[in-house]
Amino acid sequence: MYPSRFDYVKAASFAEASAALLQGGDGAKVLAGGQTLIPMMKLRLLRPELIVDLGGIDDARDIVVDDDVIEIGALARHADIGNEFRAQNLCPIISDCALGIADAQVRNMGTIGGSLAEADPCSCWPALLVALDAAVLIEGPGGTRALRVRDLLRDAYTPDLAAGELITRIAVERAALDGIGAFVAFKRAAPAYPTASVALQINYDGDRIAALRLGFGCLGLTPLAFDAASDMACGKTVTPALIADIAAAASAFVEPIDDAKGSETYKRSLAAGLVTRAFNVVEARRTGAPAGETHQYYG
Amino acid sequence: MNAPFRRKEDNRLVRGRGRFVDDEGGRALHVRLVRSPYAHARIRSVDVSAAEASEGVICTLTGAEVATLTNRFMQIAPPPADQVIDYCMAPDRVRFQGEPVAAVVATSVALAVDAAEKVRVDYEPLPVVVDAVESLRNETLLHEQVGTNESWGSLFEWGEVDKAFADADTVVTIDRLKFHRFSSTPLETYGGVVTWEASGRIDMLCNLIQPGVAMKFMAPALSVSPEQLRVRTQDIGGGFGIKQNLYPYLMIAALCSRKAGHRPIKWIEDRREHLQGSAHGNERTFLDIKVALKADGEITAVSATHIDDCGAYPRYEPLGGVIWSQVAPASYRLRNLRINFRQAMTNKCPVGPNRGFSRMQNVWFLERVVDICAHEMGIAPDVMRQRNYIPEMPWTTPNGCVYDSGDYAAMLAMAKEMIGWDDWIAKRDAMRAEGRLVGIGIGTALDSGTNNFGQSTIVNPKSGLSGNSEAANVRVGVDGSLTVIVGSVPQGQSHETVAAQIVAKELGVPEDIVRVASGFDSERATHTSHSGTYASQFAVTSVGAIHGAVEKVRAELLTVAAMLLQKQRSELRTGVFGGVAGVGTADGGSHVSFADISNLINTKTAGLPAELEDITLNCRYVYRAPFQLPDPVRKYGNLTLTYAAQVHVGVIEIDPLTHNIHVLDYAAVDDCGRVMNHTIVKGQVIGAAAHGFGAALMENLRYDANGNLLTATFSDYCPITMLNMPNIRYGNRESPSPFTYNGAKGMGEGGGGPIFALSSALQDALAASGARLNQSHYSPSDLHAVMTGAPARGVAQVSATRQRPI
Ligand SMILES: Cc1cc2nc3c(=O)[nH]c(=O)nc-3n(C[C@H](O)[C@H](O)[C@H](O)COP(=O)(O)OP(=O)(O)OC[C@H]3O[C@@H](n4cnc5c(N)ncnc54)[C@H](O)[C@@H]3O)c2cc1C
Repeated sequence: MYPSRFDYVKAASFAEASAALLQGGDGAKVLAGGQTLIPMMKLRLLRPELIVDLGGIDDARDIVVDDDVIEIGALARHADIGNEFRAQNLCPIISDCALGIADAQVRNMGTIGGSLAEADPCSCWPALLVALDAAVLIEGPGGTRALRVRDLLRDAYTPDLAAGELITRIAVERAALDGIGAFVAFKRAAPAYPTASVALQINYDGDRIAALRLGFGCLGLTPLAFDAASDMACGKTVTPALIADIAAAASAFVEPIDDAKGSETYKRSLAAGLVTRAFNVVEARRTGAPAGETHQYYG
Repeated sequence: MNAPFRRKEDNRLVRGRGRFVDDEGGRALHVRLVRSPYAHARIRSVDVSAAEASEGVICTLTGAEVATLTNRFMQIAPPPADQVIDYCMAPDRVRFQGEPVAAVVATSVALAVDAAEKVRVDYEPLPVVVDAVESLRNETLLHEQVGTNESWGSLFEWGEVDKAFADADTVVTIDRLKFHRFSSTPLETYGGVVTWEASGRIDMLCNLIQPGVAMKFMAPALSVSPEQLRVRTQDIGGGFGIKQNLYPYLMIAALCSRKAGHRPIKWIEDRREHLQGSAHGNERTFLDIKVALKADGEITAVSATHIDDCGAYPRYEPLGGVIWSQVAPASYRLRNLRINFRQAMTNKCPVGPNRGFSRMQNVWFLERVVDICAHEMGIAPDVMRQRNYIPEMPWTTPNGCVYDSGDYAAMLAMAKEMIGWDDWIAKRDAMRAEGRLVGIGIGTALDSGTNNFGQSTIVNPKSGLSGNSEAANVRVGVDGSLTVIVGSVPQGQSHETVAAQIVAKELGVPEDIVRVASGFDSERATHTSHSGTYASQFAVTSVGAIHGAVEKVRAELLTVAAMLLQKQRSELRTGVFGGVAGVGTADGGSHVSFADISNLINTKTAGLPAELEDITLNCRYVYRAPFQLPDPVRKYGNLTLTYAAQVHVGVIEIDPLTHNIHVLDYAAVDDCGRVMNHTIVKGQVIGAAAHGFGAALMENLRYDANGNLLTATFSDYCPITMLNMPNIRYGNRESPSPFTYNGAKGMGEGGGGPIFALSSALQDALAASGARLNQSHYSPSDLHAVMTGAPARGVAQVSATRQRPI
């Protein structure tokens, strides 16, 4: 449980970090919250020669909510994001997602930018952000660019970032967050990645669905956005029959693999189950009925 | 006696001020082990040259050297498995993934880890066997010189089994049941700071939990006298039995210390090493099960083959081969049993005596038998149990064990009342009518404590161990305080609290003048060969020893006081006089303090009267449990002194959306005889229940066909956490043991109650489908497979044949 030897620099800005990364070449890695990187280093599954610590970049932890867009600095921590949205009673889908990640220790260190850059198909932020079709701002040797999260995460564990490129901000259109949403997950235990997770945001027109966004975590090699569900739902009211239809379609749509957390067929059934649960929570939130827990653990 | 005393040790433990192995050894060198990535391979060569040239490295040690420096460990098994060759490090062949093959000693852990990566080992992979049933076919042998993979096997037969089957109204057969492999998860992993001193003494500061027995393994292997080994413990962060298997690692550290010029060596196992190479619990498969029943559901006979899996080396095994028979009929009055018990070696981590050791597996087996038969016979599971529970106490089992006290039917009634059984039955049926999958289950667990080591003669008549004992020492300090030393090895069981409580109560003095110097020290503290903390015995052996030592001290105090006060001993008692602990008359008119008495014996000794020359105020007492040797041919005799019991009743629902097994209501009733401290007993019941829930719902040590452990990190093994725990209604009954001085019984293993109750409840939930579940662990995905009729794993083939018209 001891990492191999590495050099360490602390960057004061993304530009400085980017330069250090480029200089360090293949052996260099940036460190954000360290909640993925450090365990991998302790198991010696990763052996970076140079660690570029982003922890000294002070202006990258902000959370800005304005009328058109929500912007979150890449170094904002899961706990800070979750607590902020919960305190403002805003966008429960975001606080569900943030506060359902792991345990307090991990949430107090782990960052949203790190979660995206890790591109773990089981992570929670990616599932939410592809559902909401969010974008990231990237800074690198070639300047800055914006990229949709869906394009960033086209492969497991390999984000679409060029050498020296860093994620600096995350932007979500407010329009994508209209209505009511929920992020639900089924986990073995809190400090474990989910077996599957579902993000569901519904925009209502009266009691009819005007728009629906649905995303999945751990049910494919990347987070998945199920845009076709919106077509199935638009103009309809939420009925058990509609939920069953979308759940069945979701079950067929996802691309789970057999692993220690379950067989492919089980995970298809779980996808349908979690879609149903997400609908139930959203409906309860809409009607003011007591909503069940968004995150369920074994037992 | 049973007020909820505050735990004496909590202040330091909860504030992070305990002293654990890893807090010690500041100037020690560090050792890192090189472990085999293969489950079974021949070692062609080990090249340590690059490691030795690495920065900070002092020396290395290889398995080949170990084979020349030490003797192979003694085996408990009789021939042929006594021929198993087991060294603390593999010399020429590895038999499980994670087996150590070399060690690197360096000035820091990080340097040792770096250097260990440079050790080059050339392996030639061999065929692997991971399944115990397959292993017994002997197609791949682990230890060729033994000629078989069977470490031990024997037929246990008591009563008139054939007659019972001939007379049965119904015979039920079950093809297969499987108890899975899991372990405990102590917060603190294995560790030691070991110095092979130039004088020849080997000092081992460690977290062994049964040092007396471990010393019997280590001393002959090192060719030293057991008296040369100084085994010491301090605070231990959980042990649960499995820390017994630490001794091979302590030997590696000792050899490294000698090679490094007698310098202290520190070894702290990391979590992955712990999961891979410490000790696992026994996995057991039950085959060809036949049950004879009367029409009313009385079980009259059971016959079956039990195949236990002990992993690559037996180590503490095959003792588990007989330990299960402490609870041969579980909590039932069943008199006729035929069990063909076989234990197999496989290419997996060796097992250790994990909490509930071997009895839990057998009780689970019979609990499953009872539930399956109940369903086949159309009898409710509570009624089935009531018809079969042992009706009176003390009760002699068919194999001569004496259950001391308890009333299982009354415990079941209490647990049923606590959860509102009748209401739950009605609710269950209503929920089922809505299509929900709800089940109610019962688990009757036994926690047999203070075992008779004489049972080892059933495994091997040449075993040199029998009975059971513990030593304690109580002394009076010059300030009048009392210091207690006992051979137990607490790992979180609050021995300091209970020991102080006993002494204070017996002498009528305040608890805060009693100091308990806890921790084992084979050289400087008192102990016997059985000393340690395992197999639920502190409450009997240690408390018995403390009680005996207190009586001796009391007698001495009275003798001295009688002389000083010019009174008869019979006029005097110990207690508090004028605010100070001392000895005085009943009216308190005449008294002398413990401090004055102690000073007379220890400090102002000039002119001490001759009558007092034998007085030490430092008294040792050895408690010996009243055991005889069992009859090894009939496999008959009393194997344990006390039988604590628990009845668990749980209501579960299978979530149709996730297949999660959700506990809706749960009660655990414990009876461990007279309770010495309710806070501690309740803590043990809840803690043991957490272990059981973890095992049933989450924890499963899975290997692939090549012997790779698939659950070698916490993210894969995923041990239970608070958030996975249901609320538990806790109940207590007290049936004092007639065999212990204060009626208390050993407890703390819990015996796996939730594993039984959840298996039972799951079966009930799925009863309508006709599926008879046969595993002790189901993940949601496993359940989904059962419920969708996918692969046959997880379901037993059951038949019931009526032999007689009713
Ligand atoms: C016990 C445990 C349980 C967990 N459970 C969950 C869970 O349930 N759900 C979940 O979503 N996550 C879970 N996680 C992961 C956690 O959320 C991590 O915090 C997160 O995945 C990584 O963020 P980080 O800030 O810690 O990144 P780090 O570990 O510091 O970095 C991760 C990777 O991203 C790179 N990186 C970091 N920041 C940037 C950036 N701004 N630009 C470019 N590259 C960057 C690093 O170089 C590294 O390769 C768990 C972690 C642990 C230890």
